[in-house]
Amino acid sequence: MFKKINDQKTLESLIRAWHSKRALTNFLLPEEVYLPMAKKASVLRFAQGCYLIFEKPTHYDFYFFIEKNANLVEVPSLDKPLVLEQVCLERKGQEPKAAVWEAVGFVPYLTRKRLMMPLQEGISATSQVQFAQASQAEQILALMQENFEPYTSALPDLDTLQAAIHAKEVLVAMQGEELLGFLRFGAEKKVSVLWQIVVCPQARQKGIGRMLVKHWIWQVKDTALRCQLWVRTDNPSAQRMYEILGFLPDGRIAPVMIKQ
Amino acid sequence: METLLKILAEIRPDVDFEENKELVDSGELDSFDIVTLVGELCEEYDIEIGADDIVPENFNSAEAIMALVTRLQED
Repeated sequence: MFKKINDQKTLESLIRAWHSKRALTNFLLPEEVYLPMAKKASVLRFAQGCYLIFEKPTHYDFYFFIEKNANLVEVPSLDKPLVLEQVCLERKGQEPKAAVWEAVGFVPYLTRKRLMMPLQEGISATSQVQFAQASQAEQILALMQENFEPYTSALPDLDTLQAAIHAKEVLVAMQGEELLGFLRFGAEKKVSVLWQIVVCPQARQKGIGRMLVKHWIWQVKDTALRCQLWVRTDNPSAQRMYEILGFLPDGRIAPVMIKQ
Repeated sequence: METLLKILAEIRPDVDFEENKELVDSGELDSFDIVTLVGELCEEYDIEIGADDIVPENFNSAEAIMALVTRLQED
């Protein structure tokens, strides 16, 4: 069974020990991200590895450390789904072995690929896009929850969204008083990351998404090294839009599996 | 150095490793890149890179990475 970890020191030494052994892992979070989550962490240790989970409101993020050629042990079912994401390079032989995880109860859920674009000149802003107001937060959050799957979409809670709006990291496309769509972005060091973008159903096929993306690029062009985003591989129209705007795949894909 | 640049280009063909001297500090290389790179370096140069050596200053430039490899080969 999984056992709670609770304190940061135990979590840190566990992760550093397994990384030093160069075990196979999908755990790539930096310390500043995972240490504050220590109270949400539990571990299941076995002879040649361990499973590590972090509790989220809707699910558990599932990580593993396994010595090379070791056999997996059974993964216990919990009260919420376990979500296993493995980032990898889309090169021959680098894709994760899905069958290994299917044997312990996971099934394929979705795959995303990463696109990037160095900042370029010639992108222009438009007055139809503006920064979101605090009063729009609940409407934007509702749109996010309607349009994204709950486990891997990095959806913020209301406080986090309000902070992003305050930091001028949420753009909205408006027609009069009507919200047509929004885009939330943020900085990871000098890389600007698109977190979520939604165009309302009645406003689709009118270039609103492209307008929001162009406005984002224009906003960050003087401060960011590049723009970056993850797009689902089963969303060809979104991929096409980004490619037209100049985004290119950087070779990284992230298949996600789930155990209900 | 040529071998190292080849390894780096395979992991991130979009990054200019000869010019950028703040690869980690700027966010050009993230933790996935570092873990992938550590695996490749250990195999290519037959070294062990411990957790204590996985710090930004050892990976901020191709020169810093090469210096780390050289130090670990001499240890």
